Amino acid sequence: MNDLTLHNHHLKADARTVFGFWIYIMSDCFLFAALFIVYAVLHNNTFGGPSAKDIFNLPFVLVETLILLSSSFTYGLTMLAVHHHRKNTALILIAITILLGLSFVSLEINEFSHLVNEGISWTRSGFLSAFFTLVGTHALHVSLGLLWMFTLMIQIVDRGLSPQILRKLTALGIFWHFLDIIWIFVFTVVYLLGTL
Amino acid sequence: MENFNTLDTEYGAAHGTLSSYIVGFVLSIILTLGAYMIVVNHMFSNAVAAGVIILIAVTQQIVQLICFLHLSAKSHARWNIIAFIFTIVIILILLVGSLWVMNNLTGRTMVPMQGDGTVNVQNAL
Repeated sequence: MNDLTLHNHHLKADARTVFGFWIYIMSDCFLFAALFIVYAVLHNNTFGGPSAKDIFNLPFVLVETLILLSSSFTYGLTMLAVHHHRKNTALILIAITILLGLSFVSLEINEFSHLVNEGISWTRSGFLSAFFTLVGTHALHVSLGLLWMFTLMIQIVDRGLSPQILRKLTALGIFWHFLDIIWIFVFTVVYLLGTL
Repeated sequence: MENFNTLDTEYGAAHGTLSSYIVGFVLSIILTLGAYMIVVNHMFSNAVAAGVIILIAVTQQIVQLICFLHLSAKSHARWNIIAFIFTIVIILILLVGSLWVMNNLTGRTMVPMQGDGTVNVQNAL
């Protein structure tokens, strides 16, 4: 096998890895679809407790939405910097993405603890169980994505930009943009329709 | 590292341009604020507003799929889009089927309950 076929063989393996990751994302779509359906079925079952209208603070959620959207954008810019072999720019952009992601998660934790402190927890009603499960699962995904992003940032500092790191960053990018798309539906279905 | 460019074409769904990210970002902000304004300012009746904001969410999903995830029919990784369409079809069947069945069930069997969890027997009968 000469260098070129070895090289092509390696690229095909990378493309397969990215495709395999895409299949995982599709299975994650089913997970979120199931949670959305549970929420849609249970959202009126408030059991005498607070309803969606009583507990949501729309301006607060709008800020969360714009922060997550910006982090998706800065991650895209990170990928561009990586493609242009600008290591330092890529590191700065990935750090900004992590900061935006951390602000999103801390706002989320703030919202949850605020609700639980007022006695509005997941044990109160079917609606609240479904709400905390759906939004909590999304927040958990974002937190894991942040952990992954942090480890990749350390790998870039340590080993520089390589085709291997590009493959990992590509997979994480699919994951990160996917979480932003899920959040559009959380924002619309849970918060906007709930306040209507 | 000249093999980066070859990697891009192999991945198909992985490569973007600055303009595609900016277009995606600006459109997403406009759509998000639009949906928010419709709800906050009560611009339509509830049923119309619900339809419009769901339409806006689906539009924003398509914008982000194209601008951020670079999903297109021209993509070299055509299996990506086939797997995606399959996923959407199954989810729509699950969604419509579940809501239909559960709403029907609720309409037939729902017993009015009181806040303390006891059943109001008079209403139930």
